[in-house]
Amino acid sequence: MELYFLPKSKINLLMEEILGEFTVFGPKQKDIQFVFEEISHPEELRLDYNTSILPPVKTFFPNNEKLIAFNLNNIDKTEIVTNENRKILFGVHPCDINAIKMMDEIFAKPPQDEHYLARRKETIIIGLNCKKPCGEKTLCYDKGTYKADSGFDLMFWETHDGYVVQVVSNLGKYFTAKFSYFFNFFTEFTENFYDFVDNFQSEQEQNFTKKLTHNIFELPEALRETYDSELWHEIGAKCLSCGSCNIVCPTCYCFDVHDVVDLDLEGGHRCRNWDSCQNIGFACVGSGENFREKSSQRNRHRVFKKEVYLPQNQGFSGCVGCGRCNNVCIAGISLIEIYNRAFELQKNQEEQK
Amino acid sequence: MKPKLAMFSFTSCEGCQLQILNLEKELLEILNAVEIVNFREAIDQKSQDYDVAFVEGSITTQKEIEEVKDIRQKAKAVVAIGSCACIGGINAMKNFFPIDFVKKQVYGEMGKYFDTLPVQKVSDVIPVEYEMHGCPISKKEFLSVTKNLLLGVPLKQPHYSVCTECKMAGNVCLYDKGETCLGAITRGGCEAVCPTFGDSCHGCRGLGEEANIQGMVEVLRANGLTEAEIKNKFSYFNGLMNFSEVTK
Repeated sequence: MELYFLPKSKINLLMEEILGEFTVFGPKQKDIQFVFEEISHPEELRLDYNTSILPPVKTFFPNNEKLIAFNLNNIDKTEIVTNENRKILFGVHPCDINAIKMMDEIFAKPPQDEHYLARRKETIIIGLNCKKPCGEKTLCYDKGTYKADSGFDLMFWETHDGYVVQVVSNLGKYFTAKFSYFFNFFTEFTENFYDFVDNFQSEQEQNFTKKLTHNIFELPEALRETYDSELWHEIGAKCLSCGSCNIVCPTCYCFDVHDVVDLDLEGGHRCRNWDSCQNIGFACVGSGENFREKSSQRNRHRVFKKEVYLPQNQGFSGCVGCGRCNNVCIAGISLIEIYNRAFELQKNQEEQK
Repeated sequence: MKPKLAMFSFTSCEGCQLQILNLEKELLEILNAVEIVNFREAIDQKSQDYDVAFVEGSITTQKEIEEVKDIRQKAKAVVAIGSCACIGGINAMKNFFPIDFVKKQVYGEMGKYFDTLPVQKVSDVIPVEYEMHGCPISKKEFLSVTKNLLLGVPLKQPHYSVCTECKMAGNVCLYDKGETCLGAITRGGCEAVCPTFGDSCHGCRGLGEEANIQGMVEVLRANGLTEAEIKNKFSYFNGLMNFSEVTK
């Protein structure tokens, strides 16, 4: 592990150097919020952001991505399209680092997703630890995802006048070696790192609060018992099936595939779009049958997929508690409320027994 | 022989035809694959021989009813284009008033000489193969529908909302800026062009399949809209829907 201290006043200087060599994605302001997009000027980078509208992981899984190029008159001309270029994600919060770790696992499982893996390969991830929660509707403290132990190459720990830079991986070391003149000239960390981390974490403990009434590990069991409950009809009546919750989610990986033929009616591309299990056509099959035609069924599926099926089948929850779905829902549907309702229902049922 | 396309216009602003004409670069390439035989905004010729008819505008007179039925007989496929043709659109506001009042408002004393009927969407009068929604239509959708017709690929409506596309575009939600919007229950396919450029969604592509209208009304109420404002919001483009009947 290498350690540096980077004064805030030197961030722009570092960014200038990096932008000359790499494509950089990071938080920047859009209107009254922030987006995680390509940075073209050092001053665009806003490490003081709360959260981004779309999560950083979408860089590896862009919407409307070309998968293959084809020619309708010549099948031999079919080619797989992948996009590989070394890039940096600068300022990724722990929840989003945990999401990338999960998506890496999902997309690397056979059959491997070459398109995701090509974009992911050799990407340098610069994490940015959170001292306080980014909003009211996050579940990161309950889920433990407000910190990340791995999944990054460098981690920035904010202090009042700068960042402690922790370099943990070979890619991270490659990065600091590449800009060694910068790191050696401007940055020196003299404190005891472990004392620093202790202090940082005790500050986190003061700022973050639990939102759930029970331990998160009890959730799959509690949810299972809600399967036939009125809860889903209530949620279904509120939900507008707009699909926003899925699109902003850092761990929703479902997509729809379609072909786009060129105007010459010969060449074309097979493309994929992000899809949402809240859209009415999502579970509609070729025969016209729809497995989840009611909004209540679709809502239940979204929650069960993340908190029951994935833990059961893969051993991890499909939610990192970033709170984006809760923030974006204009109908006011919130996972925090759903989870607590599930715990409450479970408690009531046990009391009746 | 190239398939023949024809554009027809009924009660509308003809903005959808203009969208097609605006496809300046692509039109030349389209003409390699098709022949356009009727297109009032672009060419003088008229022909009674065509394969695909793109029909713009709503149907508001007896004469239009007969003309659109004639088109149906001659065309192998009819595609209704634009809000007026697909859902009645802004024209449907006419149906909120007695027909004599409307005539007088528009033509004054001369109103009695005009034959006019309550607004109908094209599919109320003839069956159509596809409805290309929007005010105006999306140029991209026109190209993809035309290509699919030529290739014999089935035409499918988008099953996602404007909201889905708005999030895909990474936009700040208008509700977060204290505004209201119908994007959550409006049929997508426009790539959320209005919210992307700062206007709210007015529902010009019609409401999505199984739209939760009551849920949308609750959201608008919670965001401070009065009952009259909510009704107006829905009536802007979706006037053919009987708002009072579908909401509580």
